[in-house]
Amino acid sequence: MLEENEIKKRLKRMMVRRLELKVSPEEIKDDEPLFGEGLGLDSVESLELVVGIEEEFGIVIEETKRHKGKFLLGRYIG
Amino acid sequence: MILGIKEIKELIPHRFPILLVDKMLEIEEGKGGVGVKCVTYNESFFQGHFPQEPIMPGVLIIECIAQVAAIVLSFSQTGNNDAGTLKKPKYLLTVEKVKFKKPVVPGDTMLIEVMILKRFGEFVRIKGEVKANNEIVALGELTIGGSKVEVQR
Repeated sequence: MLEENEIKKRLKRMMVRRLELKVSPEEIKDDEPLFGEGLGLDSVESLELVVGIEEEFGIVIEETKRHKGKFLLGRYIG
Repeated sequence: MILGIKEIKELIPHRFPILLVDKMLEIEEGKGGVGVKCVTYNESFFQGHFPQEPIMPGVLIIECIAQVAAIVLSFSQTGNNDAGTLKKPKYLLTVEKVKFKKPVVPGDTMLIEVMILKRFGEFVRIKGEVKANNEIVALGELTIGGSKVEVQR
C-alpha cells in the first residue's frame, strides 16, 4: 500500500509530464477538477491519463468501472 | 488468418484513392494484426512527392497504421468477417511518438503491425510499427475513436 501523499505527488508529476500541462505539480490542488474550469483536459486526454496512471502505478483501470460524480484520483489508486 | 482486399472492404469504408491496406496477414481479435501495403510508382502522390525523388508521404504511412487498426477493431467487433455490414468510419484522434526512420520508396512492401495498447470507453490507443525490407521504417502511437466520438472540452 502506497502512502496517500506519495501517490498524490507522483500522480501530479505524471500528469504534468504526460499531458504537458502548463502548471507545476505543486500548483495542482488535490481536489482540482480535471475538466472544464479545473485543468481543462479534453476527453481524449482522459485516455492519456488512464494510460499514464496504469504505467506509473502498475495497475489496470477497467473501462467497465464507471465513476460518477466527484472522486479523488489519489484515493482511488491507493 | 489472411484477409484479401474484398474482406477488407467489408470491414472498413475507405475506398480509392485512400484505401491503403492491400491484405491482412494476421488478426488477433481485440489484440492486434499485421497488414500489407504494396507501394508502386503508379501511386498518384509520387507525381509530386517528389518529382526527382519519389518517397511515400509520412502522413500516408500514419494513415496506413490507422487503417490496419480500423480493420483490427472492426474485426473484433463482429467476431467474424461476415459480409454486409460496412463499418462506420472511425476517427483518428491523436498521433504521438511518431518516427520515420527510413524513406518508403516505389517497390517497397510495407508490413504494418498494430497492437492495441488500451481500450477505454470509446477510445482506443494503439501502437504501430511499419517495416519494409526487414527494417523498421516508421513507428508511433495513435488514438482512434468510434464515430460517435467528439472531442469534448
